[in-house]
Amino acid sequence: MSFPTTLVLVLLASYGLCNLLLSVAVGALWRAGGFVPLKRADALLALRLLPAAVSALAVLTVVLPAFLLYEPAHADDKPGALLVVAAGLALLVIFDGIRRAVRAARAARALVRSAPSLRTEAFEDGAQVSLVNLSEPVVAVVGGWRQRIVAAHCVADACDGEEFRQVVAHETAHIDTRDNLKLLALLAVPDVLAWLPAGRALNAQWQAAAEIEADERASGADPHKRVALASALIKVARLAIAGPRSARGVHADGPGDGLEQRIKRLLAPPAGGAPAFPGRRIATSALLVPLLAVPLYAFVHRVIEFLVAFGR
Amino acid sequence: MLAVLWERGRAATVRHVHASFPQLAYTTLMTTLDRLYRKGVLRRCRLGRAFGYEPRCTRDEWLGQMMSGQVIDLLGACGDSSMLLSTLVQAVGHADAELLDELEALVHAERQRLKGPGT
Repeated sequence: MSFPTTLVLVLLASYGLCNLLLSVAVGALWRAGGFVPLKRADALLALRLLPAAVSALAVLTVVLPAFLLYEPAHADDKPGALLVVAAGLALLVIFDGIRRAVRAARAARALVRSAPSLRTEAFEDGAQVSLVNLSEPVVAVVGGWRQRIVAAHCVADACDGEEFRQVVAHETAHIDTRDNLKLLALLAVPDVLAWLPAGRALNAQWQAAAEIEADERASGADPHKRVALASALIKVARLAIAGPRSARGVHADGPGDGLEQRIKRLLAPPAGGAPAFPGRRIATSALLVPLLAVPLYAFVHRVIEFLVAFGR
Repeated sequence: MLAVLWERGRAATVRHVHASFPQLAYTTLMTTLDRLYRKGVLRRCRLGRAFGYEPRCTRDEWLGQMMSGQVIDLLGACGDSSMLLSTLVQAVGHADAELLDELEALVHAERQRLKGPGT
């Protein structure tokens, strides 16, 4: 096996194994309730992306330099079974992630392309809403980069002016935080966790948390706005229940993410925000990994050799 | 082709449409218009010895229908492919009319409280 082929197989296999171990670990901790205190959307997003991000970081900053530095250029190793299986797993995980991303992006693009010609309504804060004739009470942000708000006429008709403004403010909050791109990342992230119940539960928890945070950003501390949004939510829910395809496509599981909680939260005085998630600090710390890993290159290379030879 | 018919604003024969698509064969246009008629997109009437075609709905109606179909398809897609939508109401499936009545009463009470006792 040539040097480049071995390199590619080693990188893929390292990614596959690292990803598998981290995904199983996150899944097990999730089942054990280890992440129950996590409520913030960004913390849940980080946890969901953790296996893929850490695996990619380890492969690019630890495995790759260790292999390039210590592997003889003319080494001609025959790959073992473990290397091939792990590389196959990585390829499967990566292609499945790409497939999910392409599927979701295509669907969104089809919607966005047809939306510009629809009647749009402008709001005082600059938000543009495309109104569509739908029996379902759909109010949604569609698209990845060029996001737009789509609302069914029935929702606009059911809500009074202030309520609909709050509905639009809620969706605008999703646009401001680029929640659809985050959702795309959750869908496309190439990891084993996507196939586990914990991965699906984390996705649902993130969506529920993102909805609550969009409620908070939309209405702020203004009690009138909070009541208007709560009222709008009830009206949309009533339309959804009465509609021909009630409750289809809009659902979430997990504690604290229900309509009841959202409305009671809106009717209560705004709670103090949860402590901010130290996302930047974690990202900065991750940049130190390549430096800290330098003394470990020799050891890492021995592990790589074991991986290549195992099952030969 | 639909854009040409919408722009014209009244029934058009194949010859009329052909003027906008000189690069296409007359028979191709005839077949396409006939297929659109059979699919219910166009209405057909006699214009002298030829058939005249006109769209069954306006441009906005047509785009609205297309959009609605895509939204429904998206929402109906199973599993994770229904994503890339941030829907307003999560957990609607868990709500029932009785619960909504209770929640509405809470909203009403809060509205009254905000209005103050004197109003």
